[in-house]
Amino acid sequence: MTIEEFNTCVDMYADNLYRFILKNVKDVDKAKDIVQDTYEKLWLKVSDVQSTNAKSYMFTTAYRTMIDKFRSESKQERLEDSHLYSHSHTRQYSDLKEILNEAVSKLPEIQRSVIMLRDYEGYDYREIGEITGLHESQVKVYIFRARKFLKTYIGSMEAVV
Amino acid sequence: MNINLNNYEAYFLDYHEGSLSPALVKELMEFVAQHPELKEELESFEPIILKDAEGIEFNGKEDLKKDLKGINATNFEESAIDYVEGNLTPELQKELNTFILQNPHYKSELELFTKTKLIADTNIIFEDKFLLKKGRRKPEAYFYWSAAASIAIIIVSYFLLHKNPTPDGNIITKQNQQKDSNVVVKHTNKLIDTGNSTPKVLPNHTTDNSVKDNQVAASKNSDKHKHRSNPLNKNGNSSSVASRNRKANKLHSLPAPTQKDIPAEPENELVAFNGNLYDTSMFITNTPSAKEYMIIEPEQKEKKKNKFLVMLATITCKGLHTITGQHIEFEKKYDSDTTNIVAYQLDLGNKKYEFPVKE
Repeated sequence: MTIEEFNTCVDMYADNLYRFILKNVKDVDKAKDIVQDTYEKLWLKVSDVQSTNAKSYMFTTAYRTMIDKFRSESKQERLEDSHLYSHSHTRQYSDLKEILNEAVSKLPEIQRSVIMLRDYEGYDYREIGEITGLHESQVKVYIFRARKFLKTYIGSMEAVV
Repeated sequence: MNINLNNYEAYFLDYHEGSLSPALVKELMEFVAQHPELKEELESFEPIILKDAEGIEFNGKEDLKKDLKGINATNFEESAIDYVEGNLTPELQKELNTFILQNPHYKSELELFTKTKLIADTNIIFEDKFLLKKGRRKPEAYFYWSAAASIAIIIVSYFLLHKNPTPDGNIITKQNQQKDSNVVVKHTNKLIDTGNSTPKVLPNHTTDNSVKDNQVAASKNSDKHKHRSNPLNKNGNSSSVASRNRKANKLHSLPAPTQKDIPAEPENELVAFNGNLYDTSMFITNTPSAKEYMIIEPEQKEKKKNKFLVMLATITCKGLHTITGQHIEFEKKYDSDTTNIVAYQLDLGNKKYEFPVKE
């Protein structure tokens, strides 16, 4: 990858990467740090990474950096159990987007990551598996569970609104 | 005959399992007749058949089977998610539509599933992209500031290094000079730290030609440079500049003294440097401690200068690396045996320049 291609990667993917991380870590500064770390890591491997693989490389790196941060801060949620399925109805929501954001924030971290990679970035199951280190079938299961939870959450919220 | 004492067990097993051909059975019987001691073994050889697993069944077979009849209430959720995911074939999509038409109460369910599709918020952007970019990019404001700061450092360093140069001899630099900053008195004197925080000057009473050249009419300047007594001497301290029995307004040659040559009551003396006349007492008597002096041998000064230049080069290279993103490094090369620095190397990635250290 040339310097020009690297800089093009910054223009093309920095926003996407930032959104993905921000939605997960919910902290602007941490999200910025992870994006910067990711690009620094890409820069170190600039001669090895092809520009066509750069996006996947960055999402993989960013995801793993984020997981490391979660672990180091002991804030990692349980990957499997959707223990946050129970939710309160005390908040007022104005539109579906807000409800959906709230629902996504309540997803277990792994489900949130895979469904965002699927919907935001349009990755297929195999690519999501490569980024997250999961088997393709596991990715499908997590997406299935996530959608089921989101559907239930939205349904219950709409019933309230 | 193929059956022998080494392989008869295999034939026994096959015989009991009924997998031996009639010809082999006949052959086996002839073998046993020839070896009657094996007859008992053949009769007692019964294969053990595990039968305790019989009756154990998996009862969930029906749940695992895929419904061949298409989309129904059982697999609706899965189909709806596949629909949202875009995984349904056109045929299954048709089936789903048919199912919804036949079961309208599932329509809202399907709508809820379609709402689970996340849409990225494009208002969220990473604003500091310029921090991520490398190399040949449009310079940002910080680039100009960095460049200006680097140039300023280099200019200041140049003047610092070339300020009041003296070709040889010892240098006594008085810091915090009141009238002129950094007045350098050129002597062949030796300054000795007496260990009690007061420097001692042991003059050898010689003045080299360069100093003589700098002689000025002291009488013109004598009024400007008032003689001061040395308070250290008044306290009986040994610090002083020895210069005796000569005209006060002349620079002079000083014989090499010993410590006892240092007079108890020194006279102040005027020395010339760069066309200016200075009272030597001001260098040693107006200061409370030796901390205000820097006593530097020429070699030490050269070493310090080199060290500073190396440090400057290293910092500059690091700065340039940060600004340009290129591999620029300034490093030392050591001798493997003596671990002395033998050269300095400027590494530009594809090119390397080496500067050997002079002996």
